[in-house]
Formats: sequence, C-alpha cells, structure tokens
Amino acid sequence: MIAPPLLEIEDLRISFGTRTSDVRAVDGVNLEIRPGEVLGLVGESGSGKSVTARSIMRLVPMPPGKLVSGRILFHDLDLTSLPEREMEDLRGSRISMIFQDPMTFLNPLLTAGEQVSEAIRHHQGLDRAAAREEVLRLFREVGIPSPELRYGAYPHQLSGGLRQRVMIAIALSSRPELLIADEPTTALDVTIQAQILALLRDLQHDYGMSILLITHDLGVVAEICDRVAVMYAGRIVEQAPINALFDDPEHPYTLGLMNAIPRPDLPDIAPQPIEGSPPDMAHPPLGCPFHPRCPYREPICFEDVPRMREVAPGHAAACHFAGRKAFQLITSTHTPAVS
Amino acid sequence: MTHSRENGRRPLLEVRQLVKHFPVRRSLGDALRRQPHLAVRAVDGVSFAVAKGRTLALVGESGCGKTTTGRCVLFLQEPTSGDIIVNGQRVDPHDEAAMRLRRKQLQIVFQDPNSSLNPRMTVSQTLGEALAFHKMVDVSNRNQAVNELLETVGLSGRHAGRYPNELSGGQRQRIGIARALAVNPELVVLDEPVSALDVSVQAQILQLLERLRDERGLAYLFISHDLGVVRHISNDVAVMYLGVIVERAPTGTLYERPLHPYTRALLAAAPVANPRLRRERPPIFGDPPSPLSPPSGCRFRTRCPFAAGRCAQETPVLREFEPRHWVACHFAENFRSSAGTT
Repeated sequence: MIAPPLLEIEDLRISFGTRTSDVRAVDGVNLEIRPGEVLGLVGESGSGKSVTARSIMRLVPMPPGKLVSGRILFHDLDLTSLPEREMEDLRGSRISMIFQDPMTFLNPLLTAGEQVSEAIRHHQGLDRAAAREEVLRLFREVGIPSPELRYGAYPHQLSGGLRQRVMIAIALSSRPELLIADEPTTALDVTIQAQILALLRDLQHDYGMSILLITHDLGVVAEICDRVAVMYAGRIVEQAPINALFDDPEHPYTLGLMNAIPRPDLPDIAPQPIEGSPPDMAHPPLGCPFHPRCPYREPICFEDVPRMREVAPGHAAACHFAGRKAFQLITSTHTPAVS
Repeated sequence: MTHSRENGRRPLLEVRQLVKHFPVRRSLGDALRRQPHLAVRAVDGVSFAVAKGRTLALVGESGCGKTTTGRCVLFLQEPTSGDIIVNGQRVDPHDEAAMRLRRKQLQIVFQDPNSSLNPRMTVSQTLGEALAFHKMVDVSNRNQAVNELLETVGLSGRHAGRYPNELSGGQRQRIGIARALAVNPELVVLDEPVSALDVSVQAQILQLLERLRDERGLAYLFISHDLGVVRHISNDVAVMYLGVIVERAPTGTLYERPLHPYTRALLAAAPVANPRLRRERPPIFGDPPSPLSPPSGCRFRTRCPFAAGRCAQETPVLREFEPRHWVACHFAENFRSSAGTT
C-alpha cells in the first residue's frame, strides 16, 4: 500500500463540444492505480468511465473532445502532454487495452496468429520463426485450445470467447505493467464470461500487472476486483476496497445500484429502482449531481458540490452525509463484526 | 406463488414440438459434389405451456434458440413444424382474419427500443397506429386512449408529441410496452426487455412489468439470459441449450435444486454481486458447438463434466423427474442429493 501508484489521474476534466453546448463527460476525476491491483471503475452508461479509461491511452478523439484540465501520471511521465511519438511507444507495450467487442479490434483480413505475431515483432523485434513460437506459447497461456490450428484461423472463424482470448494474447505479448479492460466480458455469455474473468485473474497474478477494469456490472466487480471506484455524472462518487464497498456503501448512488440489482442468491428481495434518470451532462444539476434522484437529499445537496470524504482507511465517498447517515442496504448479508 | 397449480385448466398458450430450421445455401460446388443440405437447427422440438397470469422464462445463452422460439410463437417467423395453440385453437398462418386475432392476443416487446420504434413517428402516432389497426377505439377517442396508455406505463400526456430520440432508454422501453398493451393482449412475449437498460432503470421496468401483470392478468413469455432478473420475475423457468429445453421447473425449484449439469453450470457461472461468493474456477469450459451440426445424443455432452458413453448414443428425453420438474439428462438421479451449485 505504501508503494507509489503506478498511474495517477489528477483532476481530469474532458468535455465534448456539440453545436449548442459543452458536454462535461469527465468532470474532475482523481484516481490512483497501484502496482499489482485490479481496480474496478463502475458506472452506468454516460457516467464517463470509458472516456476516463480511454484518455489514459489518449484514445479520446480531440476534437470533438477537449482536455479542460488534469494530468495523468504514469511513473514520472505525464501522458496528457507526452509527445505522440513517445505515446506510441507506450501504447500496446507498457500499457495495453482490451475492448468489449474484439471484432472491431481484430483485423478481419489477418489470421489470429499473424496479428499476435505482428504485435510481438513490433514491440520485441523477434524474427518470424521466434515470433511464431512466442505466439503459440501465448495462445496456450490464454487457454486457446489447439493453438497450431487457431494460428491460421481468421477472426470470423473463431467464437466470441476465442476472439477475446486472441485480443488478450495481443495485449499481453508486451508484458504490460497496466492492462485496461473496457467491458471485456459484456458481449459474452455467462459461461464464457466466467472463463475470461478467471483467465484475467490468473494472468494478473502471473504477470504481476495492474488491471483497470471498466464495467457496468457489479457482479463482475465482485468477482475479480481488489478495489472499486464508482462513477456518476463524470465524477468518482465513491472509492473503497472491495469488501467495504459491498458491505457498507457510503454514497447513496452506490447503495441505489446495489439495491437495484436482481440477486439470484437473494430471491426474496425485490430490486429497488433508483427513481429518475441520469443527468443531462450538457446541463448538469447544481450541487451534488445525484441530488435529483437521491432519497437522502437535504437542502445543502442542492447547492454545494460534496467533496470526497474519507470514512475509513482507503474508503471515501463524495456525499455530505457519508459516514454520518445510516443508509439502508437491503441486500446486506454480512454480519458487521468481521472485516 | 410459484407453487400454485394449473389445476388442469386449459393453458393460454401451448407450444408443441416446435421446430425451426434455417436452411443454409449450398454453393454450386457443394451441390455438384452432392453435399447434403445443411440447416441451422435453431429450435429443435420445444414444448411448453403458459397459463393465464403466469410468467414462463426461457433462459439460455446466445444461439440457444430462445429468441427464435419467441418469434415463432407470434409467427414473426414461420415454424418449420410444430403447433402453437392459443386458448385451445390452432391457426392457419395463411388465414388473414385468424392471424389478425392472434396478433391481438399475443404481443411482443423487443430488447432494443431504439430499433423497434419508428424514429419518424411521435409517441402518439406509434400508439395510435396500434389502436387504429386493431380498431380498438374510435378516432375521436384515440387521443384519450393514448394518454391512458401513457399513464399505464408511468408516462403522461406530455410525452405524446415526442419522438423516440427525445426520450431516454427507459422511457422508450415504456413506449414499447405501451404499444404492446394497446390491443389488450392476453400474453406478451418479452424478448430481453431490460437487457439494454442500465441497472437503475432496469429495476423500474421490472416493477412496471410486474404491476401490469398483476393488474391485467397478463401472461408473459420472458426471454432472458439474466438469471437474476429471471429468478425475480418468473413463476416457471425453461432452460434451453442448442435448440432444446434441457430443464423446466418452478422457479424456486430450478434455482434451489437444479438437476441438469448445464443448468447447474449456468447458475454457477452467473457473477453475483457479493465478493464473498467468488468462484475458484469457471464451472464449465469451452464454447457451445455449432447448431449446424449439434453433437449426437445429448447436445451438452461435449462440455458436460459428467458425460459418459451413453450420452453420445442416446438422446435424453425431457422427463418429469418429480412433479412439475422436467429434465433431459440420463443421470439426473445422481444430481438429486448434491443440490445447489457445482
């Protein structure tokens, strides 16, 4: 815990210009990724989680995007101001990324093996034969059955799960320090999702890398993350170690999300909706961005933007009442004694 | 609630031995070489019944045939064979008048309201069209009927003049539901109705669907891959794998005492929002085989951790293992005691 963070995002603000107004997709995000941890970044659509993740790789098109403020420090490099040439060297080598839909990432005209081989030759300067050996080793490592056969398969000949494994093989080929996984299992069936999550967990352990996992699914978070940051309306509203977040959520939005998920393990508890819908980020509400939907709001919430308050070591929430009000978690199953 | 019996009442919807094959075009070369005709066997002999006011969930992974089954029930796709019986009556799909009535009895709500609503029609035009086509109300009362429908689904008259792009995802899905309800159907096929929505909105729509079911005595055929949602909303569940039903039971029974190895794997694979229930390893490996050439015998045997020689030779039939609990596995007896997840 004392080790310096691998990556540090400071007061990141990104907006997108439209004809009529500026949409503040990311509105002051502060986040640290520590060496060797799996950090979950959770939020619903439009919360800014993907833009935050993509901005690390500098994959947010600018324009229409605009970096309003902020720094992203990777070791001692500021990724927001790094020359493009150096950024290219970093991308896909020290920081890799995998996406929800491998089909948009893989080249349909190259075989699976050729694509991985290309990445290896580019980053490691191996010759063709050595690269082929390395590809087969990677294929075995990411659990692709009969690797020799799949080497020559085109993406369309592979199942969704296998494509995702090929993309993971490409991402791992450079032994990255940070892997950004943007909804890596959202398009997959549950039995395949379970396999891919187990694979990511094993690889994280074997490679000792950090993973930033972007997802909307708290089930996936519970499955593999060590720590979680919850985003709402372009901001991080809560950050906590995994068990603390699920046992004692300190932001009413986190609480609302947990109460809203239908739980197969708790059949007698009906999911509780969060009333209303997420704010229009072209015209965000004043005060706390969650106040229009918050059942616990008070007059202060209409005016003052809450700052992150630490309620326990490593556990902070951006709510005026974090740690001061008893929020009711209907799905709570733990006995508070341990932790 | 899940244990109330049908008491021999005639079911509202009965599907018998439904088969839907999609032929694959042969190339000229294949035809000259006398290669056999291939077909995607999307649905391969599925039977079930839904009673008035009840919800049957069809669950399974992509490609298992659950959506095709739902579409065949409405004749949005013509079944290759099998019977769709509503209130004891079969219909000839070529009989226009009978089909019109059938379409009034059975309605559908699709997963993606963006693609199922016409972007050039306002909410009141969309709903008005449904009302007019089935001659539900006079022209003079149409606006009032539209407003009532909107209120039924938790919106109001001020949404009537809006276009779909002026609505949020949850509101659009409410319009999709209102359109289905416009003709007072008896059964609604809900094809992944909340899968495209954020969790916070998803719970709103689930509440709405439950309220409508209770108020109007609707029956639902609820198609979903989400086991959490299904447990919450359905009375009975049928699990599909590669075009066949492998297990069917009242919801509580299915989740608490699953018998089929596939059901057990599916339940064990679903991530649960509780970090203390982490799995050690994935419950099953590999991908489902192609529905072009499903495995011989039991279709699940290629991924089944318990597969034996018999599974390759003999196709297990769906049998009533205990009252109202049907399973298609030769070895279901072995899984009786070791209940719960694998």
